[in-house]
Amino acid sequence: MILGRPLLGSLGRRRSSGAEQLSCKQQVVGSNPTAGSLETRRSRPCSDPFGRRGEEPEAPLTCPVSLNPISTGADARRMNTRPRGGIQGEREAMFLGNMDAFMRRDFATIEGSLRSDIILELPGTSWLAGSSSGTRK
Amino acid sequence: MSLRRVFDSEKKQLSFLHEGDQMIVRHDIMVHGPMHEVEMALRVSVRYDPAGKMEAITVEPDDLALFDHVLNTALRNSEAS
Repeated sequence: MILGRPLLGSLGRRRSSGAEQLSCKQQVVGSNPTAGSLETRRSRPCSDPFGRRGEEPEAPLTCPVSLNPISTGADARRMNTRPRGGIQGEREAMFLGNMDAFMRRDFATIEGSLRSDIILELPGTSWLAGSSSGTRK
Repeated sequence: MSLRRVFDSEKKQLSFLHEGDQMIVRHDIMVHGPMHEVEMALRVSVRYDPAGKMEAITVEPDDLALFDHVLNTALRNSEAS
């Protein structure tokens, strides 16, 4: 159970209200939810969209000129009003294609866009954390 | 444990930033644990080789402590079962 929060019913999924959200740097300590309960939370960002650390902004951040916000899937085709051309457009399309492939477990498609000695890094202490090399790891 | 079991794209807005041979993507995902479902933004930095293939990827969750907690809980649960 997250301290100070009531248990949820079995597999109840919810979004936290603003008052329930974790503060920016609050850690979930001693969390041990009762079996069958399910917590759904939205993490609040601690930094701006591109990792410049600092105080949590009160207002939405403005985007750099080169930012190209779009959505995936059908929404992407409808909302992408500023399509990029050239290498940048190819990279964005590749990323979206890989996301779709990941969702349908089509890992062969993803591997086609990666170097065989690709380096993957993830910070933290989870079982996924660390640096690995190669598409098979 | 498969990555696909713990990550899920929320299919919400993505943002792309390009700089030289790198692209930075910020997008929302769901991280699934046995007792949590956490909506979180990821900052994914991708570096490309001259042939256009990805040669390095760095993934940075917005809330790393919470991200680790959910994943480690999922691992403990899978080991116990």
